[in-house]
Amino acid sequence: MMGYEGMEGVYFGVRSGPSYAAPVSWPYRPYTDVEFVKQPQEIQEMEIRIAVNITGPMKDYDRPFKVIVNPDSTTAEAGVHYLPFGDSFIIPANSITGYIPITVKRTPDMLTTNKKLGLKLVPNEYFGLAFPEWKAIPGLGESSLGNDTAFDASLHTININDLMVQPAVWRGSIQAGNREAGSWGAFTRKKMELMCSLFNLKYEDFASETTMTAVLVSLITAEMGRYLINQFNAGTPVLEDDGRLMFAGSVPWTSYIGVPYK
Amino acid sequence: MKKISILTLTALAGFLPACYKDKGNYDYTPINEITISGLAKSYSAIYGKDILHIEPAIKLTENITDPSRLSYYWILVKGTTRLDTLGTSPVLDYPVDIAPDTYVLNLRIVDNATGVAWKAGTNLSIGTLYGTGLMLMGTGENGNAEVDMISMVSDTQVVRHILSTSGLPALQGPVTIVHNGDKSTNDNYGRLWAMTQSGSYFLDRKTMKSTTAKKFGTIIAINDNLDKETLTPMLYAPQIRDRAGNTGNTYARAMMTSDGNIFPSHTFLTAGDFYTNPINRVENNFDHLIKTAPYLFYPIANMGAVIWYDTEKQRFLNYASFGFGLFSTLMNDIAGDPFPWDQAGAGRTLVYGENTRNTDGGSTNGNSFAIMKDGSNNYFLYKFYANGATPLKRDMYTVLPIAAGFANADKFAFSSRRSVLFYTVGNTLHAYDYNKGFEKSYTFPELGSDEITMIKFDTQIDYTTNALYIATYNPSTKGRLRRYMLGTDPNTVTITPVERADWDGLVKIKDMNWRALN
Repeated sequence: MMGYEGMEGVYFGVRSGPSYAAPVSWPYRPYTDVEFVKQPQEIQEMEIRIAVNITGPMKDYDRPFKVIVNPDSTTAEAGVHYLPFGDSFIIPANSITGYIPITVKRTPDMLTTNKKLGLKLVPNEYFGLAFPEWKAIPGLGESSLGNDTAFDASLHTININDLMVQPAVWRGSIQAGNREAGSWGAFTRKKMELMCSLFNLKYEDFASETTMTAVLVSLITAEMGRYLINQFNAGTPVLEDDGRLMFAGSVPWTSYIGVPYK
Repeated sequence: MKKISILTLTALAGFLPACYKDKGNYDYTPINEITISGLAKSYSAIYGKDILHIEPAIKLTENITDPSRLSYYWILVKGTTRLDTLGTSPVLDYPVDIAPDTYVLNLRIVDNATGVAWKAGTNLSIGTLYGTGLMLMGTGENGNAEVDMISMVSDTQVVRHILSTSGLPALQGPVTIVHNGDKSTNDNYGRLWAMTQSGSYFLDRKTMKSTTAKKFGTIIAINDNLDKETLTPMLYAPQIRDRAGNTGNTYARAMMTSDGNIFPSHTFLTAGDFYTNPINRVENNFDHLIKTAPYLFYPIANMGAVIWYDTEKQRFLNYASFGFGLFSTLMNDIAGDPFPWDQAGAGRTLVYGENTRNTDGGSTNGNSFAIMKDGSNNYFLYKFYANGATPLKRDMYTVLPIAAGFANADKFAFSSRRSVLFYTVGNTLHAYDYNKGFEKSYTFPELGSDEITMIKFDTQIDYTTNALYIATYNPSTKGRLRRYMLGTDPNTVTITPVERADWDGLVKIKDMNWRALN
């Protein structure tokens, strides 16, 4: 049988996908997302490990490869948003994968902006760049896994943020004319933080119906409504950032996104 | 087309080995062969009671003298899953300790000399005695809370020591044992509670086992400042209302805890038997939880609302909005009413409360009664229909002095069929006919002098016969439960014991409840 013939090279081997699919079926991705909002508040920094794979035969000795920060795609600042991490890492002996350990930090500006850290593999005496044009198998998992079909596998972007996005379980919606509807209306960070403080919850509790049970939804809906009405009646209405009345539960008012209540 | 070609290929593949030249060795040696017979097609046994005895006929083709040559495995199988080995001897004697269900039981015999195994199977159906009957909560001989059950699954028989073998620690201060009537097999809906002053826990409905983790705090979602760990349910509503185990509301439920809080549930909205913030509060003082008296008033046949009693301000309050209401409401008193909801003017306090199937005044689903007392030791009976947002006061009766020893009464039971209230003073059973203008008092010395531990009219199995259950206790025959029929002659009150409805050797009964199924 014919062995591998071609370049001995490196490429980013980062995969991600939904939890119901096996990790080996996940597609390769040109990015890694670090979402601090999904971590408890006391987590202020995290070490992530970016996988780098090789093409060509395994060797029985360690081989270094080189990576640099790609200034074109980087908005994160070294020492602020991540710790400087050097430029030389190892593909261990008898292995096809090595890792770049990077420590990223949670900073207040991440509440509103996503910080990018671009990585770029650089050829050295051991490795070339294996897949400057990565193409996923056409159609594979596109519908369910959301393939990134074509990218340069010598580049990788780490998105670091603390942005609060609508969690998996959110019992509210936005109807025609930007009107808040459902039990909880539109998702906002402010509303989420109020819920967490009133009911002693964490953002992670909204991640699945296992933790956000129907009875808890029922409690939150009823008590949020009562709280908001009480605050309004006390002359201290709870407002969203755009000045509209916060909406939840059985509040008697209608709230439109972007429309202050007076 | 593709399917056909696959089939063809598979068939061809099957023929190919035929082309090989057979070089096999045909010098066979006969081995010991085993035949298993005598297994019935199916067996049934009762969980926690029966010993499953199976004696199969095993025939061998060789005479084996060494008993260790054969290994026996009685393997319990559910579907395709092997669950357990119930025995390893030729004859099975298994004290049944597997959850009630239907299984397959395989006997597998391995000849250890050859390694060859033979197998025979049968169906196994494990039933439970806990499915239907009268559950009795009381005090056991060692002074701890204990549960017996008069099981009526097939023949009537008493199952004893249920609580002390449930896996729970010893509990004190028996309150009740009650099934919520939910027929769902989902454990998040149907629950069976053993309630005691030292802790209340829900039991597995099939095996009656439990752990201290099965407590109220795990099934509530609250943001009131209450300690979930110590909340101890004492009362469940709605009660079972018929022999089949139906209740007066499919979705609405309420549980009262020993600290005087009432937690509501609407199982459709909460996706199960889960409870939210207490509703024993009023809107204009929302943050204050009012201590309730240990009664919930509602029509047994249809619980659309519950009335409860505020022990701080001595008044009845109504909660008529299961599913969304967060507090209870005051009810209006109008001049000329038979009695007030708010006792401030009347100076009365609540002594006792009970729901019945009494239909006076057109209360189809059952009137409720409250016994009230004023500062001068006068007693009054309030009769009302706790029906929804606007409950109806039906009547008030003054308890006349002819009611012997009423001030010292400690147990009460209202008939659903007649204007008769039974009560006990010490170990004596009395009855008082409160029919206005025809008041009469009766005593029942025929019961003997044993301590009376419970009197309860049946509104759970068959409210139309409305039998009176009387529990007594003496140290030699232990707890005794008897069923009586109340005579129908309106001019007198008689009770007649029902034949063969007399059980003894029971716990010292504190309360009893019917369980129909699940």
